[in-house]
Amino acid sequence: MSQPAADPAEERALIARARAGDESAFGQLVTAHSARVFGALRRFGLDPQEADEVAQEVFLRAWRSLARFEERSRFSTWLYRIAFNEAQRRLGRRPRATASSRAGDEDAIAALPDAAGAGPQSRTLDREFEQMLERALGELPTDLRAAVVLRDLEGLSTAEAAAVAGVRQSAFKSRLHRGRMQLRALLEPYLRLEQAS
Amino acid sequence: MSAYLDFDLRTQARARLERHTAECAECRGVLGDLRQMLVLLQGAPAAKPVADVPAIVGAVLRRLHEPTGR
Repeated sequence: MSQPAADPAEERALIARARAGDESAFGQLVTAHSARVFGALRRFGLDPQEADEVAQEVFLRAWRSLARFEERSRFSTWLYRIAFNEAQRRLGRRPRATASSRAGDEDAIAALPDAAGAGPQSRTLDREFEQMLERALGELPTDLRAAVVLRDLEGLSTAEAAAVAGVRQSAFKSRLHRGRMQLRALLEPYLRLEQAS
Repeated sequence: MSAYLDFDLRTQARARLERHTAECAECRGVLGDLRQMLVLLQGAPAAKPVADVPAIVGAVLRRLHEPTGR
């Protein structure tokens, strides 16, 4: 979440103006939320170019659907929902990952303890973790990845994240648990290294 | 374990898990890993490269009047 959320009252006013056709107000909403949307799309598994294209689609859909935004949820959560759907659509069009590309990721994760141990402490470890996390997330099935991204990386509540994913909370909790356990297994070398340091 | 870390377990179930992890080193290790992983995830920076906000805003505003339909 690299962009601060707009003040709620100010945001409501911008939404009302945008609904009435004020493009400048909508531009301010896009400015406030595009980093968040782009970041979520990247974490759902899109590459930078795809995330850029899909982020535009998310906001264009939002513009066309503003009349249907009921303000029962936060505007950001509503955008996450559109972003989630658009990301799934884009990911669904992709060919399955090849065995060789997967093998490369596994090698990188296996090589982690040496690489992390060589660096001067936390900054290097942060960068290593960032890279390992991206690779490890790429190993998760799409639905489990989305659950971990929404709840643990984007910081949504369980209720919000379940609504974004379009499933009941009980089903979402099950996905989240499985996603976390798989991610833990993939990141285990890093986690053990951190515990030892 | 996930529910435990999210404070989403009833008192009895929490106590049962805590009793078990006090005795089982393997489960204690998994719980410790999960707890540490969640802390790291919550502090994880955005994936690089980050968004080019002005470019996205400009493109969206230019496209507001495009005909709909895929």
